[in-house]
Amino acid sequence: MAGHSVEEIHAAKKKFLIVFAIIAALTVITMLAHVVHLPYPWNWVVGLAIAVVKAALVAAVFMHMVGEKALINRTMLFTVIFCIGLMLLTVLSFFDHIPKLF
Amino acid sequence: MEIPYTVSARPDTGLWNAKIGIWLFLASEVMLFGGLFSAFIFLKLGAVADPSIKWGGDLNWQLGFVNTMVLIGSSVTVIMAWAELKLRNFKKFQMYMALTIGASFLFLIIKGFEYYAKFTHGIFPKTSTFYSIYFTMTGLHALHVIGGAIVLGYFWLAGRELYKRNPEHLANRVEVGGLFWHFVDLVWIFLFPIFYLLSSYPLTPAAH
Repeated sequence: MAGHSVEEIHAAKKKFLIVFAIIAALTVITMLAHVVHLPYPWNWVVGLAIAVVKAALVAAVFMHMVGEKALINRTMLFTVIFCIGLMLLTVLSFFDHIPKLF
Repeated sequence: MEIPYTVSARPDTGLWNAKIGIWLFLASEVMLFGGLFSAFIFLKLGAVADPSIKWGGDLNWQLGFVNTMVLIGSSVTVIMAWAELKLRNFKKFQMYMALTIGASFLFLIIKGFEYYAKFTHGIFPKTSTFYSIYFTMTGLHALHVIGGAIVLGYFWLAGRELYKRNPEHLANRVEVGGLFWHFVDLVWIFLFPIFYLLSSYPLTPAAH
C-alpha cells in the first residue's frame, strides 16, 4: 500500500469492511444459484464468474494490488496469463483439433 | 549483521526485500495450483468422454459454504490486524490476529470433520477420480492453511517483543504473512464452487 497516513489507513479500514460485505454477499449469491439448479452452461458460467469477481476483489483490495508497484503487477499479470494458457492448452489438447487440419 | 531493506525500499526495485520475495513466491504458487486446476479440467473432461471412468463425488456444500465464510472473515481480520499495527494500536492488532488464528483453526476443524466423515464411510482418494483430485487439492490447501497459521501465530505470540524493537518492521512482516493468507483465501474461492457446487455437472454440451 503506497500511502500510509493515519487518515488513509482509517479510510482503508472502511474499504476493507465494505469489500468483505460484497464478497460475503457474492458467496450467498453463488449458493442461491446452486440451489435453483441453473441449466448448462449457465451453472458453470455464473459459478466461475462470481469466483473470478471475488478473487479480483481480494487481489485488488486485500492484497493492495491497486496502487501497487508496476514491477509486482506486471510479474503477477504474466504469471496469470501463463496459468490461464496452461488451462487452455489442457482443454485444447482434449478436443484435439490438429487431426482436423490434415 | 543487519539485514538490509526490511523497512526502507531498495533504490533499484522501489520495494523492501520481503515484499518482492513474497510476490515471487506467490507467483510460483499460482503456477502450482494452476497446474492442479488444469489436472482437474483434464480429469473432468476425460470422465465425460469415457463412461467407464468413475467420477463420483458428493460433498456437503453447507459445510463448504461455512468454511468459505470463515476464510473470507479471516482475510478481513488479518488485514485489519495490519491496519491497527500501522495505527500503532498494538492491543487491537493482537485481537484481530487472535481472531484470524481462531478462524484458521475453525476452518481446519470443519475440514477435518469432512475428511473424517468421508473416511468413516469408506471414501478415500482411491475411491474415484473425483475424490483423488479433491483430496489432493483440498489437502494441499489445508497444508497452506496450517503453514499460514504457524506464521501468523508466531507474529501473535512474539509480536510484543518485535513491536518494541521496530513496529514498522513488524507491520511489514505482518503484511507479508497477510499476503500469503489472502492467497490461501483466493485459492479456496475457486476450490469451493468447483468441488462443492459444480463438479457433478457436465463440463461439455455433448455430455449434458
